[in-house]
Amino acid sequence: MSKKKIVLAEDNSVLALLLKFKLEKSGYDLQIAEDGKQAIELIESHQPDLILTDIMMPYLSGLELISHVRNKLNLETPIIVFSAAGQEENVLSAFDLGATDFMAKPISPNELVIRIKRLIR
Amino acid sequence: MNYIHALENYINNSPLFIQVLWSFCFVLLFIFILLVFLHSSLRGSLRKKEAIKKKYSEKYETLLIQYLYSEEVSEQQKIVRLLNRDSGNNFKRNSIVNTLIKLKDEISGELEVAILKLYDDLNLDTFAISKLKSKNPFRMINGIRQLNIFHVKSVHAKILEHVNHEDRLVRKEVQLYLVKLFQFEGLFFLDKLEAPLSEWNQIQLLEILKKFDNQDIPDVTAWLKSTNKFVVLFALKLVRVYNLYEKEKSLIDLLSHEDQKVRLETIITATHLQQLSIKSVIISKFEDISLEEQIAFLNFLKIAYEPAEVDFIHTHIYHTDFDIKRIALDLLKSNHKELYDSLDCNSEDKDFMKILNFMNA
Repeated sequence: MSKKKIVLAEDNSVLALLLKFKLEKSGYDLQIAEDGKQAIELIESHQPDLILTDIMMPYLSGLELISHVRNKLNLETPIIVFSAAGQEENVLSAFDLGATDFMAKPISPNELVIRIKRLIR
Repeated sequence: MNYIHALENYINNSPLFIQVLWSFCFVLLFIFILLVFLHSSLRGSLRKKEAIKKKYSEKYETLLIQYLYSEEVSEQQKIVRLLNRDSGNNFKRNSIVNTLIKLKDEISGELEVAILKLYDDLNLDTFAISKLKSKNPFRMINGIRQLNIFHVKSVHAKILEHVNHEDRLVRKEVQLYLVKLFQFEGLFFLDKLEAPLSEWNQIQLLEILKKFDNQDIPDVTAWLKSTNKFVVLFALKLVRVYNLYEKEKSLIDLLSHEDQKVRLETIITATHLQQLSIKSVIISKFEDISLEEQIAFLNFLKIAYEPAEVDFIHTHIYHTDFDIKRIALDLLKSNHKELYDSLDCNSEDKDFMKILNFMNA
């Protein structure tokens, strides 16, 4: 059975590395993008089963990424948004744009795996 | 060779002014070449430094992830030994600490606990503690912040010594350390605080306090009596935020405080808590308090008016200040309509007439 593909857009390199380790151990194929622009390239070329994105990112924010995926690429891929404290308004905007779920930072990798499993069985 | 010879001849045979001009051009050219060289070497060295920094950062990020997800204790110990060896070097130690901080703020649960343990195992706190003795405020701030991030509680007494540090940023860091790690108990730095506590610092402290599950606030009476007006102002905010109704007596005492801002904030706090007992105290000395306090008190009456205060209100409808006049008329209209309707509509006071016409429109 082929592994489910996930694209992670996260500019914190050590968090990205940690999630890569955790998610690959849980049986997923994770592609990392350092910014929103790279994430769009990866989404277009890999057609992932799920997208994980931070809200604050260089070049293209998580909100712009969600908008691009939903409105330009017309994809229904589930999107989980990571948000830091004090970004409540951005989280609401993310849901308006079509985000599927959100996790507040600091995140628990174990909880993330549970949420991913629920979204892409 | 002929060209150089020709140039030499040309310069030698030129007038003195042209010779000076040429010399000046050569000097400028030399300086320009020197600056270009310096600039490129500086950029090169910065790039090199950045590359080294990135290399070590990547190395420690990988080691950290291996440590966190390693299932064997021996492998973890091997990583700790390796990091311990590197932490002897200033540059490498900073890189290790930065890597730990970069991940610590982003994750929770058992991994966060593991990062705190790793910081402890590497004895990195000793380096942070040593920064407390530095004369450079930024080094001190860096040390205190690090001890805060990695929950090093054991040095609180040493940190408390800097509560009145001359640099306000150091003081702020001390306050954040104490309140973040010791919650409401950390507020006891207020007992020792002699320096100012800015409005922004006060807001930051209140925001941190709001996040704690335990909302048992300590007794603020002593802080309301502090000789430091900033401590009193912060204590008044605590009274407001945590609705400390039992502080009525202290509020009455503060109405006689020497600082006008404290008196004003006391009236605002009493308004928030609707402490009716302060009304008679203020009315008795209304003419002696500042205009801001008078306006604040009349605003208090808007929500806590009692018919017995009609004479007090009536005497202020012709006050010289526009706002006092406006609020007094507003109170009269809302509570004593008949008295309001009987007011002289041909007064010579232009402001009075302006307000009356507006309210009757």
